[in-house]
Amino acid sequence: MKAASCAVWLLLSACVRTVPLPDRALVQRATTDDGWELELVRYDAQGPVTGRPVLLCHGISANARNMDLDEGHSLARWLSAHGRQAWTLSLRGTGSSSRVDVRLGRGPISFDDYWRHDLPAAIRHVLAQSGAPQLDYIGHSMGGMVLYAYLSQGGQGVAAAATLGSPTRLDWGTVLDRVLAQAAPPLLPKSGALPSAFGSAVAAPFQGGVADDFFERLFYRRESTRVASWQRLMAYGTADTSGPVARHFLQLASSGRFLSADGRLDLRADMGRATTPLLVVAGAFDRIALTPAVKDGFRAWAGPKAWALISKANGAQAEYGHMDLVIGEHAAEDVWTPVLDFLRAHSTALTHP
Amino acid sequence: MLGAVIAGLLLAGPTVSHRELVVSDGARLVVTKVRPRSAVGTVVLFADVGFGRTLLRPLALALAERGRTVYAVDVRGQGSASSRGGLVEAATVDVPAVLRLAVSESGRPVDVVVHGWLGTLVLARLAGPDAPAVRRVVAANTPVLTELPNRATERFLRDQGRFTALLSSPDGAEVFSQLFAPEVRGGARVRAALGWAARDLGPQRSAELLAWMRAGDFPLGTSTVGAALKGFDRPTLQLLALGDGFAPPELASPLREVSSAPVVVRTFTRLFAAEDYGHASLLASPTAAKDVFPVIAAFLEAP
Repeated sequence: MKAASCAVWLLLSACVRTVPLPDRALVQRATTDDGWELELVRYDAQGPVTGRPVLLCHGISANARNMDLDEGHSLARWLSAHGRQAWTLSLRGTGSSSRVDVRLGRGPISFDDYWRHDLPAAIRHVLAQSGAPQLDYIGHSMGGMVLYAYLSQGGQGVAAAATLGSPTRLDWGTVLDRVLAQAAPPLLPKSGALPSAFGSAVAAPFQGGVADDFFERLFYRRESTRVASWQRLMAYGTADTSGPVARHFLQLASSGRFLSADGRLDLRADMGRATTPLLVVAGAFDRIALTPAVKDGFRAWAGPKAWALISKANGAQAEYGHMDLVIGEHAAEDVWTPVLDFLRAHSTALTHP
Repeated sequence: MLGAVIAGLLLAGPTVSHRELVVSDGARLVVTKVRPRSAVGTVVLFADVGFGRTLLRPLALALAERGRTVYAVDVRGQGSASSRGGLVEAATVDVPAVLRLAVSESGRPVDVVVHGWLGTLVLARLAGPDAPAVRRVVAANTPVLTELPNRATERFLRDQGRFTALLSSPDGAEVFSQLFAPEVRGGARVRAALGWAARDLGPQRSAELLAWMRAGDFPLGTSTVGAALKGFDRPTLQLLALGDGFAPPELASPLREVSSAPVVVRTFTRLFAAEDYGHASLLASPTAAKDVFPVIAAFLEAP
């Protein structure tokens, strides 16, 4: 029975082709100060270097492929084509980075691990490899929250940053809030991970079969993202979800606060000490990181900042949901271009090759 | 015969009456009063600038069916009311006059449902030392953080807030959709109905609103809206519509940081609701009767 299930899964998964990384993408490993290995993928600048290297970080239940889904949907390759050395990061427990392994003393994974250990290790690695004194950073969803936490606690090495759909307050009285608060806790492992990668891969071939289904309502809009792109993201852009991280997010949703996983740090309050230039980007129809949730982080930020609401009313070619910001058909023009413009506006003289 | 009388009584709907209210500076407002057979409380509805009683008719009837006496108002510049004056007069003259009328006739504090930018002015008015006797507030897409929401809003206001122009072309209809009713069920027909419930803002109100958004605050009597809101202290249900392009949820959401009283937030998105409601559709789309009105009624029915 188990073998048959595996066979069916393999058959279905094969329906959605995994697009390999391009030959020029160099997979590297960085080791954190607590002994985890992280996957980093380097995309060298095409043509003259125009600015600092850029580190890209994905959100929860995701991996580095969110930033390089395929040739036509790749923030990493787009930055590289615009003269930036781009790096994608898979946080611990995702991509080919280390997994929880109790025998090796690894795990469980908390939100604090991401900003206390993973981000510093990734930044050190990129700076060492590139020779740049500082880098720029783009985080999607939780990838932006990780940056907020890191910089709010005095993290170094980031010259300018952009967050895409990154909330700092999660209590908005939606039906989803109430459903998750009641139904999710018993389902979440206390130390392990939810098998969301497996579930997504199995569900991938069926995506788009029914218009306006739950996934579409929650994650993307067909006017922005092709079903084929969404299927690919489901097939190889997802990762297992750490139970403690998911529990932490539920606590944030019930408390209305942005706290560290150990509850000791009020990260939102500490964002009031940050000085790094920041562009905060929100999709007007993001049903996960609602615009007020994203704006909350913008308001909390003390450093130089700008707000970009991606919407037709602001001239975008389509309305944007949560994942459209990174895999949308028009994301390069509507989202990534203003991000790069912001990073350029906060650039200093180039000091690396 | 007796059966027919009983059936008639049981089936009798609320009584709807309309009247003019001439306020202290001579402006003429229009008040619709909806009275149920048996009233358990009173609620006054204020629609946003440009809209008015017509937009709120479905909500008024729904609340009346739940036993509320409802006042729905055209303040100056809305519906059939006078045009004279602008936002300041609407806030400092019209709103207090209507609330005094409702409190006087009901004999006790009333509840209010406010909407959009006019709603912000009402909240500011409720925060003053001589505030009207208001018990609970429902704030629908009501900004407390003031800035230009987007380029389309800026263009609309620079064009003097002409709803009629929006509704007379496909491009204009697209803008109307982006700002006021993005994904309304029923499509163009319902959207057009919402649009025709509006009235052009005119040069003064458009200029005032644009200046308010650009400056981040608005003078109101001897104070400003921003300063007045710091004293806001009424238990409030805040309704946020993700698809609102005219008074977006990110501008409304800081209310719970401003208010000294509890603020319950309810956000409506397409995930579980029928629509990503917009500025007008949140309170007037046909599906709002199922998704939104019961939430409002339940909040107002709390002791």
